[in-house]
Amino acid sequence: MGRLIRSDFHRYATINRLYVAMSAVMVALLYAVLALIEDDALFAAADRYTEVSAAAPSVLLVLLVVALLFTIIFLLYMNTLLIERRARSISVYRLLGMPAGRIGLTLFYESLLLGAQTLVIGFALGLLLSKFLAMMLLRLMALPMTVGLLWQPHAMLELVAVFTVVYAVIGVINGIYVAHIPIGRRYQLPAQGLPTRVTGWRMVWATVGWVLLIGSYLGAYNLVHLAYAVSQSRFGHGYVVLWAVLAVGLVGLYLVFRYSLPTLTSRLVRLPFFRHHAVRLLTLTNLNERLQRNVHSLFLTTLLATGTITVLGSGAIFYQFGQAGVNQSISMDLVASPYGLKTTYHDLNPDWIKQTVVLPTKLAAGRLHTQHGQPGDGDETFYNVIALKDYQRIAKVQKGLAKLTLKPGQAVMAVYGRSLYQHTWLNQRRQWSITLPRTGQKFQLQSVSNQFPLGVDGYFDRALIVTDHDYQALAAPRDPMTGYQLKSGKQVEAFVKKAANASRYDFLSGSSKALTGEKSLQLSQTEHAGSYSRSALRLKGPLLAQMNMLFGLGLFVVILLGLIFMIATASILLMKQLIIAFQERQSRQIIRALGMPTRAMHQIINWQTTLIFGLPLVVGTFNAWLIIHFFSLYLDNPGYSLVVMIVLIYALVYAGFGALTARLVRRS
Amino acid sequence: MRVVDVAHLTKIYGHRLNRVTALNDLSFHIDAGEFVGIMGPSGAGKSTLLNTIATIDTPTSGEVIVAGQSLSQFSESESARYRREQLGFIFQEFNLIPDLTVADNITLPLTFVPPVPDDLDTRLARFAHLLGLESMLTRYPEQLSLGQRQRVAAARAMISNPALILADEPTGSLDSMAATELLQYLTKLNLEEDVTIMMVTHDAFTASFCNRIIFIRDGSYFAEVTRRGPRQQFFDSIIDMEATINGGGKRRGPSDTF
Repeated sequence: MGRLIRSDFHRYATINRLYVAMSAVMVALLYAVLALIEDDALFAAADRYTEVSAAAPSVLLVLLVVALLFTIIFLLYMNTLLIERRARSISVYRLLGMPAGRIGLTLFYESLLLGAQTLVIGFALGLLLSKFLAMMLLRLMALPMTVGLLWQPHAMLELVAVFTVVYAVIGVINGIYVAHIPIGRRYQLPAQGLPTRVTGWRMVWATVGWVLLIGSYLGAYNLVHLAYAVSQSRFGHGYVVLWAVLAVGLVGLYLVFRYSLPTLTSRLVRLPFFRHHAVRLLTLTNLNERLQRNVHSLFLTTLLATGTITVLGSGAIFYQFGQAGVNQSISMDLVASPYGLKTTYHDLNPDWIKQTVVLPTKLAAGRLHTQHGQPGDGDETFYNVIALKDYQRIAKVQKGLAKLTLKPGQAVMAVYGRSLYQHTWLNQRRQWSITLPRTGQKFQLQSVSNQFPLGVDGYFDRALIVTDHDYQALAAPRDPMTGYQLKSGKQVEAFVKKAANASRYDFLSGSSKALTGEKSLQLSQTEHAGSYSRSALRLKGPLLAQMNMLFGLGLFVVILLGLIFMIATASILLMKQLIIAFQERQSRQIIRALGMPTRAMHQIINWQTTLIFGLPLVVGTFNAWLIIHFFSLYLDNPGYSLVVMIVLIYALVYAGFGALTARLVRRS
Repeated sequence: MRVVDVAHLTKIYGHRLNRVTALNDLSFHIDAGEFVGIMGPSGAGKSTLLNTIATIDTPTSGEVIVAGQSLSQFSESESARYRREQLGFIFQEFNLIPDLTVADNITLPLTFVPPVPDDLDTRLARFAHLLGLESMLTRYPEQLSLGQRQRVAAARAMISNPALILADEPTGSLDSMAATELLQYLTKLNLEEDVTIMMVTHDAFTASFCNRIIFIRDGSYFAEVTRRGPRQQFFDSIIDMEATINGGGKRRGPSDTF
């Protein structure tokens, strides 16, 4: 039996090495996370900075469980691919009289040996990775700490116990599989079948696939307004649209893979552009065959790629939302209303101040007019009205505040959470206006912004930027804001900490008379029913620390999950390609014998690999972009820069797997 | 004109402790327009000879010249070009690409490297007509009978107007009816298109369609027979020679004729 195991290990050395390497990376990640969770000292130290870090071990534990379950499913799937490849030789062993039990036992031992190799390599890699992951977590959470390699024997023992069971189960499954391999006749490779014949029904399904997919894409792009329109109609709730778009998209995508793409490739292959160029012809026919034989695995890989990019992209956009949200909320270190300033000024040493900015505003009630039945039509709320010259002055010191040009009678509305006011196909923003009922002034709305001068936290609700002349003409109570940029230092930190603990608020009566302009607006420090409130003293530092903790931890979790999903997706594609390359070796030998140059043969392999890896990546990226775009709308467009960077890194690593696959196929 | 010239060809496999001589100082030649059969018992070196002429294998010593080109100095890309332009292959297992239509299978070698000949469709139509494949051009190999598949392989071998067609046991997978039909087509190609064919076979009936048979044994030239009269007479002489070879008879002269 030992001899048989040795010969099997020798014969399947390349595939086994790849299997061990991929599984070891998964084990390494699991060890690094578990070691992090079990490092009590690290999280005790982190608690000194913020209480959010206390939740980190629980969040990481959830991540570990998800990653572990996914790894087990991945190992089982990979084992299925590997054992199928050996079915032929096992069939011969059985034909020659080797008992099924003996072969099964051999496979069981082989599985345990592969598991042992995986764990040894995985732990070594995990030890190195643990410091890297721990430092990444600390940096993302903006904690000023350092950490070394995480040596946690307990974590190792726990993983050894889990994976011994997993590999034993895999061994048992293989043993059972052996008993079902046919003996007495030659084991046949899966039948290739004829290429797709384009029948009338196929054309119908192919068209239905495209229509459903494009329809769901359009629906997903306009999801917010579509959901709003449905919620306003008698058809039902907005969330029904979400599920409908998702279901239609899934069915459409499946039909596209199952019918539309094979039909398309069958049509394309008839064109002289492909027929008269062997590289193009053989690449396209191979794609057609893969779409026929492996449609389910390609579809699942695409869903996996969609999930991975969505998870990564969403993490990135939420992180950006956290960062942008702080700047959007408070643009300077300290922003105060007159009341806030009065209560704080005696504690604030003038030497600590680097820069002071004053923003005069006037408070007015206003009514928004959009198209009839459109979101926001008839909204009554309070506006801090700002003169254009003051806005432009603040824009010089506040990043992200767009340059504006206004004519008399025009205005720009700043609103927090403007997803329903976005200009889209379903929501055309034309002839929108705002009236200030107390003075009777009317402004044409030029645009809608989500950026407030000095930050949204200084406002009761919305802001309205008008020309200097219109501002002068407005008779309304004044509500100036003052922003400070502070120097760094321990005394400043102590001041910020003390000020952050003080709760001071301004209130504005939200009665219907105030909103309709029948009553003048009065600021006060006492709350009444229906009052609008704002914090009188706003500090950026503490808010930024909390956001970094929360979204930094979130980003860490999604990067790890994304990494695990990506390794799984790419590994499945790699293994599939290698196994198919093995089956297609004869075809390659034929075209080589017929005189195809080696370069052209490499081109075919490269193109085939690019298409098989590229299809899930491109479709997955597009799907994920629609989902992330939806999140982005709800999060008030925090920006895509980090999303693009993370998705590019994902695509690069994924392309690396593709290049490795092409190389291995060329050598096979 | 001489198309194939094999001179003192030797091929030894293995290392110095375990050497197997597949070809041993083998020499012969084939002239343009000949239909030559290569026969010999199992292990005589027939496949090694075919692979060497196809540049799939390299000789240990000796030289092979095909259409005036010495094969020994070829680089990998030159070998590919030689196989593409000077050789046509007919294999025992047909070796057609299952995903391609009959038409695409036939024209495949011409599309390996651009530019594609302008008369691609004309050539396709001509050989499809010659081999009776006109009605099957849009079908796939799996939709054809074995004999039809081998005719497709023959058309593919012919489409680039090669100097030499190498046929490796072309009737090995066919029943007797299909085999006879294919051999008649090959004879027709040889006579009407003046194609030079070198066919490896172990079957005397198949060999009887050739003009000349070269017998090899233990990697060396053993004898040859040339057809001068009716096919039945030629067949008998092939059987005689096979009996001599298998019975351990002595080498005969190079010019036995029947």
